[in-house]
Amino acid sequence: MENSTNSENMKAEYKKYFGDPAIKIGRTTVGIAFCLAFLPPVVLAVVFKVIPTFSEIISIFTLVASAGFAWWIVEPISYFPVLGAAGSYMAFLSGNISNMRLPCAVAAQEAADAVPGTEKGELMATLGIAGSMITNLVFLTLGVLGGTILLNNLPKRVIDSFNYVLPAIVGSILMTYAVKRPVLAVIGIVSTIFLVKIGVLFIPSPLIMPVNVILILALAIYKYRKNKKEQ
Amino acid sequence: MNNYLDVANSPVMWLASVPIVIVVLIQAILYTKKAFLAASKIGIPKSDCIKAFRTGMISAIGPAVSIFIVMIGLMAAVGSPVAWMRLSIMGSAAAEMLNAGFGAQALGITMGTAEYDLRAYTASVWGMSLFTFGLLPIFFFTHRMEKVKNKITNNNSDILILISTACMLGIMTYMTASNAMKNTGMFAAALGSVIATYILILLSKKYKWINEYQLGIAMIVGLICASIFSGVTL
Repeated sequence: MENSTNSENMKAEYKKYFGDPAIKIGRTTVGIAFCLAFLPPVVLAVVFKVIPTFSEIISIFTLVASAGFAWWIVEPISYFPVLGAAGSYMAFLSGNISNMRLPCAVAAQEAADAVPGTEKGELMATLGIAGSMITNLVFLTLGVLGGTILLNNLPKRVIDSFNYVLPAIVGSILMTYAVKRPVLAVIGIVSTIFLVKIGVLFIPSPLIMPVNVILILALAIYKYRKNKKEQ
Repeated sequence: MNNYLDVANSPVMWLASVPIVIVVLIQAILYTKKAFLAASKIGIPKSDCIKAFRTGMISAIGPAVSIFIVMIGLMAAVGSPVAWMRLSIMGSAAAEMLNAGFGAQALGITMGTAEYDLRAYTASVWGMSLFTFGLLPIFFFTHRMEKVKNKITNNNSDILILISTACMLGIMTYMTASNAMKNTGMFAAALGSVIATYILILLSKKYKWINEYQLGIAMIVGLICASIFSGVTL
């Protein structure tokens, strides 16, 4: 009994000091950032007097939106259960979610011995993403200042190898989770192969990942219920 | 012919690009402060917080280098300020390239050709800026999803852990397998990194410090495997 009041207390504290402020910070920064993203085209129009015609802007928007629209809807939903509210605001504002934010969140949780999905898990993921945002900014800024010189002096083989960063990063994160749930991991790989080879014939490509996520989630819940009944 | 780069690299364009990056920085600082405060309130040691932040910084080095390599390409096309700004926010390097291309394409001009002038550059900037509409679902729905989550799980920790683990497995099996299927280099990178991670997990039971470098080391092993096997065709 005492234990459960303790954990109730902890949840209330967590909501007060992190849950609620996290949403306020997220909405404010994302809202401001949305407006500021249009500063470069506005400056081009006002200072340099160059602006596409209205119909050109519409056709640019149509091209951009037709490639991006499905992702704009599907990604926030797919990543939310993993990132939580604070993590979503950070990851979507700073981008590079699957190759940087998500892996850094998981690595931070592992290093701090936090279980994903718990309060501690969410805090550690937030800190891991914040750390990754700083690294990204530092590297890009150094890159802008001296990147061309550095790039000309690196062996081509090294530069080319960075084309393979994505599978190396996601592979490592997959393994940290596969250790926890090996059966689900194997099923996920098999179902991905089926979805990519056969499913793609009748499932639109932005929906392939969500289908895989729903499949694994359904299996996990089914197993959880079955185990509970047996107890 | 190339004078659009004078505009693209002008101090005014830097001024237009800096504010949003400052917002990103401020957001990271605010969340870090809140997380430290909340952790102390619910009894999580400060050392864990520092470890998490440091691990995030270290683990991001690999991906940051690969983003930086793409940025050099984007810089040549749309100038330094906008390339730097776009890669500090939203989307991915590949998405930004695509959107910049869409802008020019709407004017019937291809990026990287002689016809790519100030008008085409402006259209590219519009393309990348319009992509920011993708932030609106985050702005309008994230706080509602938080409420839905609390309702569905009723703060049941078991269910929350189960859902986030299963979703992560769904995402990562898809990302790994679909990329590994592309070519031998990609396959070697994924496999090398998977095996390295497994060994590191075993080692980290004895040597705790490995945890912080796990992702970085696994990535390097993956890249080495990729560069050895990328030329091999089966």
